[in-house]
Amino acid sequence: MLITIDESAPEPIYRQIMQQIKEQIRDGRLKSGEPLPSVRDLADALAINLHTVRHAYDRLRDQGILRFRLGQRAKVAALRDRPASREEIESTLLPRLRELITDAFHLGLTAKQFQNLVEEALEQEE
Amino acid sequence: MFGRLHHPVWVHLPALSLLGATVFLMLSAWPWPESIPVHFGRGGRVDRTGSPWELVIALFILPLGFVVISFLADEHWARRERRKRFNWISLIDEVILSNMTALAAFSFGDELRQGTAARFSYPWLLFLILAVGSVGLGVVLELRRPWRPEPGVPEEPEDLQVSGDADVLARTREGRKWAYFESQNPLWISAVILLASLSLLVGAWNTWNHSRVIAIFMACMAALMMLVFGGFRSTVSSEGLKLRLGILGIRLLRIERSEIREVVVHQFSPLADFGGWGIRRGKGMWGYFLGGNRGVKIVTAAGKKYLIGSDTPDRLAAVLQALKARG
Repeated sequence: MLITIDESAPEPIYRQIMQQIKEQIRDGRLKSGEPLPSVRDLADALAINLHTVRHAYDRLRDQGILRFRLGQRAKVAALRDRPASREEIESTLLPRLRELITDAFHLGLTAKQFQNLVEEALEQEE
Repeated sequence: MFGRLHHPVWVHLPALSLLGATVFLMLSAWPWPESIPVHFGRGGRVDRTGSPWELVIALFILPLGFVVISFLADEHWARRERRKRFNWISLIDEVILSNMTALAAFSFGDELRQGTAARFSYPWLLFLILAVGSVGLGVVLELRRPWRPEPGVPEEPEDLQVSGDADVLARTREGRKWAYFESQNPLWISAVILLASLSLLVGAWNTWNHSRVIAIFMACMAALMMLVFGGFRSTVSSEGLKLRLGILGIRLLRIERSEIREVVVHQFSPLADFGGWGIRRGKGMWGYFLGGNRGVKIVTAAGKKYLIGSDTPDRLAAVLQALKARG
């Protein structure tokens, strides 16, 4: 697992860590059941506050991406075998989607242009 | 399951002969009495009697299992060979089985037939004769073991020079904090450690009333074994490489960024090149690996070589190469 943080970036460090862990799970570099470094090890290696790492791990656990067991390091949870519920999607994805739509508006994009952009990004990911 | 065997079965002749001798000794004492001395305490005096079948398990079933493990180990060795190498590990089963056969000769001798209590006296002379004879024969058979090189396969695998990985280079560029983590902890290693620790604890429990010193020693050994539970963990950051062991993260190795002179992916044979798994010395370097046959060889500025076992050696090598490039 390779984690990089950019302290000059506007995005909080814990979110940078969360995003990279999610990306590495998505592209198969981190597999279900694989243990992650301990909070202390990751914090020491990156020279950041261990509460920052703990916050990132806790958020990922709340999202069902990591699982914790007493006495063990955090592990990658099993991938979902079916999509999340409508309620969960609305509470996690929709607010961020609305934020993106607002940003696209301020960049002068039409709805159609924004839609094309999303489709291009999805094709690249596939 | 195996396909074509890469080593001949007849190299196991000495061990199988000893096993056969053990069976003969057991059968020659038939019919067995219901109860015989099965355990000897301090001073060699009998402190427990039991069924002769207990000795069958200890002196035949366990050695049989050991012969099977030896067969698998020899096959593993033969399949990994790129040139003929003397498999000295194959001689270990001859020594162990010589011990078992000597004990069988004592246990199923007159004392068994007569069912009388006896003082334990290890048959050293018999053991030495069996061991020297079986090991000698084992050496001859190993020297005569045939081996043919596979066409197109080089004698020594070439080290793989790792070119820069664009993703790794981008993510580890100056101005960013980064860290790379990986671990090597095969399931079978964890199972062996747990089983061995449990056996030691059970042995300590059983021995407590006989000898507290030995019981405490066995318990301490069990605790020491659990220290290595958790495998090896490698961490690479802008400072360098750290290698840690077990659940406590005992630091085994630290290589600063400035010390790294060369990084290559290296193919090796754990048994043939290092005599096993774990922290090993072989081929002029210290190896730290628990599985697989590929790792990352690091050569330092001082000329020291280290082999770091990895399940993803190409990735680890790319990260170390990026680290070296920054230095």
